Parts: sequence; C-alpha cells; structure tokens
Amino acid sequence: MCAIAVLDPFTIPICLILKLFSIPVIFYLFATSSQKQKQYFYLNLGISRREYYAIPFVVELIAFVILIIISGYIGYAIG
Amino acid sequence: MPSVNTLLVDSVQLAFGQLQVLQSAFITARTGRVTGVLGRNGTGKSCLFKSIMGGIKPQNIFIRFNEERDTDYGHIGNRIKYLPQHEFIPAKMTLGEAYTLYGVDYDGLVSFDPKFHTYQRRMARELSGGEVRVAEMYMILHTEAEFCILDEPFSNIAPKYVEKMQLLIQEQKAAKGIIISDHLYESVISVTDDLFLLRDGYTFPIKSRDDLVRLGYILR
Repeated sequence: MCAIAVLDPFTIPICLILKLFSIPVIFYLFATSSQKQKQYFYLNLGISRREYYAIPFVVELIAFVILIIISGYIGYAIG
Repeated sequence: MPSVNTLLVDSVQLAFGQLQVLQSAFITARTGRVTGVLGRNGTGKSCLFKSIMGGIKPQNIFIRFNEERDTDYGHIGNRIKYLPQHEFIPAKMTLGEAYTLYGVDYDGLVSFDPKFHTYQRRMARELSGGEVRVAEMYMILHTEAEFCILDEPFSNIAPKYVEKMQLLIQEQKAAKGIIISDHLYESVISVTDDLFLLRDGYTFPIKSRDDLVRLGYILR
C-alpha cells in the first residue's frame, strides 16, 4: 500500500508536503530528547551517542510511514 | 568468584577552543578496587568521565579493557555505567521503569531503605533531588556492568546516606571496578584503594595527604 502510494506520481507532492509538516515534530522530539544529563541514562544502556541523536529522526520516520499507510487505507476506503 | 577486569584510559586530550582542559590524562580501574579522582573545580574530572562515556568527544582518548585489542567504544555503556553529577533518570520515567531497563531488582532498593517502598510507580520528578540521587546511585552500583563511574555521588545527600553508600561501594567493589570523584575528599579517601589528582590537565598519583598539600589541593 505504502509502495503504491509512493510510486504513484500524483501522491508524491502530497507525501512531500506531509513530510514538510513533520519538520517541527522532529525539532520537538530532538529538543525534548537531547537534554545533556538525560543522554547518560541512554548511553548507560549501551546506546552510542550517534544512535541517541538519531532516535528522534527514526521515531518521526516510523510515525510518518504509519501515517501514510493509514492515509492510503482511508483513501482506498473512500474511493 | 568474579573475574578480574581492568580498565585503562590514557592519553586523554580535550580542549574547548583555546581552553585546554585535559592534556594527557589517564586513569585505571580494576575489579576489587575503588579508584578515587580528586581535583579542584574546573580541572576536568567530569569532562574526563564524560569523554570515557562518549557524551563529549575529546581530541584524543585511548581506552582498553583487560588486554582486549579492540574496544567497542561506541557502545561502552554495556561495560561501564556512569552516574553523572546531576539527575539523569528522565523526569517522566518511574523509578520502577528505570530499574527494569537497567536490570536491577527494585526490592533491593526497598531493603536498602524502606522509604522507597511506595516510590516504585512514582516519576523521578515527583521525588526530591536527594531521593532520586540515592535511587540512581543504588541502581548504578547494582548493574551487571564491569565498571562504575560515580561523579560526585555524595553531594546533596544526607550524611546517613553518605555512610550507607560508602558501605555499599565497599560491598560492590568485589564484583566490579569503581571510579569515584567528589569534593567531599575525606569521604572519597576513606573508600578508595587508589587515588589520583587531576591538575593542569594531567593526572598525578596520590600516595599520602602530603601529596595533596604539595599539589595545592588542600592547605594542610
């Protein structure tokens, strides 16, 4: 479903607009997760510093993919 | 009997712009021994610990566990647990969740101090700074890690807890190497087997109180 939506040329601009809307979400996640002292809670768990700073981007990407899939299902149901 | 592990951290160089914080600092730790690190404010004790943990990136650092040729430096938290100066359990996380993530039995904390009996489902932000500190220190000392680094563990906690934590450190050193730093230097000296002083970016081994006076850490 997601692959069809991405490959369809008409849906690409919509996906791009939705992705632009997610930029503030990334900033919010990044600001809340990158408090200096809190990072050691996660570094202690064996997460590298690079992985720690990648967490907001990964969380946002997963949420975005889920949103696109749900949108696709709703679109097919309406159509 | 637990295996004996050694940790060597050497050639640590750290500068922030023109400010050279660490020039060639080193520190060693070993299972069964407590290593103390003293130093005046701003001499780079916390920077040294944070460099080891990867929280800040030094210009140079060499870390070796035992005689292993390759150290997975990126995931060093699997082998070393670090108690930073300030609270590090996320404010919205409960103590129970934090203990579960670190693989530590919460009942142990209740045995250590029955006061924590009703705190398991409380978020860190709902407790006092001292209570969180005690819970964090107990958690760090009881993980399965080979080494623990405690940065100012005795600051802002009641004298009773300082004494209890000293006993806990002595108990836990049988299974792990512990590095400790605090400005309450007498509390540190009383639990340490090896002592170092950080000054001018270098590490100096300390054998006696006279060394501390000679190096300008204390007056007399």
